[in-house]
Amino acid sequence: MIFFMVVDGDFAKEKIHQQKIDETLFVRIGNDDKDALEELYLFTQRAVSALVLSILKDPYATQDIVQDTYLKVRSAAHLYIPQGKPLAWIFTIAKNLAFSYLRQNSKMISNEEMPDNDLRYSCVTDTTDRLVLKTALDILDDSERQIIFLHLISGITHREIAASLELPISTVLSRYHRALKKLKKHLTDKEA
Amino acid sequence: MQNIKKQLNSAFDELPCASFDVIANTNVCKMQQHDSITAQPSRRKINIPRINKLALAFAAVAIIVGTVMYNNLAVDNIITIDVNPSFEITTNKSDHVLLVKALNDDAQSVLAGKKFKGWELDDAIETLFTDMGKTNFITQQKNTVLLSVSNKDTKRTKSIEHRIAAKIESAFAGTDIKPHIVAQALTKDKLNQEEALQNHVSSGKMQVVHKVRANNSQYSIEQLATMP
Repeated sequence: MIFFMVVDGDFAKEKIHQQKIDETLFVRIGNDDKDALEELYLFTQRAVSALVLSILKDPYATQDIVQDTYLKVRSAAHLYIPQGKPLAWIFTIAKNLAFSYLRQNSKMISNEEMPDNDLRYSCVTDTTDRLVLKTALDILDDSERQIIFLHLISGITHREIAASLELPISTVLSRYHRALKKLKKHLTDKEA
Repeated sequence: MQNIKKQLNSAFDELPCASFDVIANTNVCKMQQHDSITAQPSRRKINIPRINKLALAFAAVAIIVGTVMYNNLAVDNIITIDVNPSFEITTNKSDHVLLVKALNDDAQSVLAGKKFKGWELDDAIETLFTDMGKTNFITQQKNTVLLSVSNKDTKRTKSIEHRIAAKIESAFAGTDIKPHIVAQALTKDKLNQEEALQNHVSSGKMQVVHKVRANNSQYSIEQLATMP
């Protein structure tokens, strides 16, 4: 079992529900139980999407990889051995698929900053929201981005992030604070 | 922070989302065994007699506890910083902060409410100096920093001095403050430590006081300790 936070889609309401993933969900998913799949998807989709976006920096590729992650979970759920870390397993699948995507598309992906008018982010209507998201994707390094996205977007606790990414809690904390400081400074400089 | 969180979430909410219907209604083949994508970390079982298991477990625990204690709890570096305020920072082998001690009232006011235990040394240094800049303990005029590092390994002492100096400079990047950093290797000396404690300065500063007195004894230790 694992504890983690699911942030409600309507962020303004600030409703954060503490939930736990029941590992028997995988047995049910392995038996093609659609309700179990939906339960797992609702619990974890935001965290998985945040993680994949932090790796790929492309919302459309993220959508595809998240979809593939759950299809992989469906095809391997009956093989899952309970180890007390269900979220870590889903994260492993998502990360493996994301890195495989990056390897296959390495020639097409550049590490340069995304231009301000990057069309991939045109779906974000508010310019300030778009700027904050793109800044986070541009200036933070891979590990900082993962930690910031998992904590601020998915509401996962630092301790859970440490367990899922196999990092010491002190490293997660100091990278989180450093990333937040970097983000604030960059946004303040841009404003000025 | 709240704004960043809110804006990040608002932006994220508008991004395209994987469709549950597609996930639920796409035909998938059940895998016969895990592949490289879905593999879970293995938990192999080795057949070992019970008594050996206990001995192995005990030895493993002793080794793990010993290593963890040595790496995480044992003091590896003692770093003192005098601006003034004066601080003493102790870190472990992996350069994580064990303790930041305020050595005078000014340092106490900078530290108020902050806990650096477990932080990476670089982040703690950058935060401390950013805060000292904000509170005007370091300005364009008052820009001298005495940095003293004590470590058994002289190579490591030098590398830590360079790292900290770079972090101090980066804390003031983009401002008019150009810190003037005087670095020295700090030698462990009990008497020196006691005198430093009595005069509310760091042992690094007390080491400088003694060096000055060796060349010119017209000033007392107390007089030199209070000089900026």
